Amino acid sequence: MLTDEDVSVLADRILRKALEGHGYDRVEVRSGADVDDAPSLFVNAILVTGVPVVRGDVINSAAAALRNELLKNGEIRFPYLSLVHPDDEFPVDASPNSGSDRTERTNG
Amino acid sequence: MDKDLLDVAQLLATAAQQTSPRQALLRRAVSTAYYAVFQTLAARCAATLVTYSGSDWETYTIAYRALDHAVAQRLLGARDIGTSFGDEIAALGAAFVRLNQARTQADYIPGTFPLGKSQVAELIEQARGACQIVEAIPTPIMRRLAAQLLLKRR
Repeated sequence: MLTDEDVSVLADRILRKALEGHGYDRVEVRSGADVDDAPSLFVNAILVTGVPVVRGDVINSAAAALRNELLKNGEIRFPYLSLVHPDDEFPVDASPNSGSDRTERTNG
Repeated sequence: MDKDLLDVAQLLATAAQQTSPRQALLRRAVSTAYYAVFQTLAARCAATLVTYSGSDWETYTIAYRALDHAVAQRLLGARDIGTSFGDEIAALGAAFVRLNQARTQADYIPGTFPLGKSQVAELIEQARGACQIVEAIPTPIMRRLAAQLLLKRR
């Protein structure tokens, strides 16, 4: 099992190429468990401010490339890839930072 | 492709954009986007294994309803999906697992919904891309995929 830092290095290389031209800035990786309690990786591709919504085929290809690269390196946890827009708008009946911890349990 | 459901997901997301976004709109948009993929896959599996014309409608319906969320997630999210079925199905798998996770959050997990408008719009885009992949799967590969998705191994 790779560390979050190891995954970050691999993911940055893959996502920088896969999301080229779509405002990719950097990656943030967090180990945790998904809604089925399966050990998982939560990979956030942080985009620069102001870029439009990215096409589905681009995201799907990036996610598959990321999964493939992790498997090649012996990492079997599923990577949940999310694109993060710094200027995204969150529900008015919610706070933007309070949801993830309730729905994705972290290991530490 | 279940274009109607994708349109509904887009309408919900657009409604969320016209006002300050509300959790209920974003939750329903995510769930609907997932079901667009699930139903497109169910329809393609059924149409590949049985005909849906004329008096075979009931048979088609049995096959259509045989697709199970957990089985589909397990197969499409498997480590060997790319080597077994190729890069396009691997991309479908990545999208399906991500959408299924998001719709479980949307449908079943109380509390604050963690996704913003752009993230929801991108999930709808992922669903659109996944539906396009399902529709373009060559028949021999689709037959193999449908058999593994719908038929129980003994």
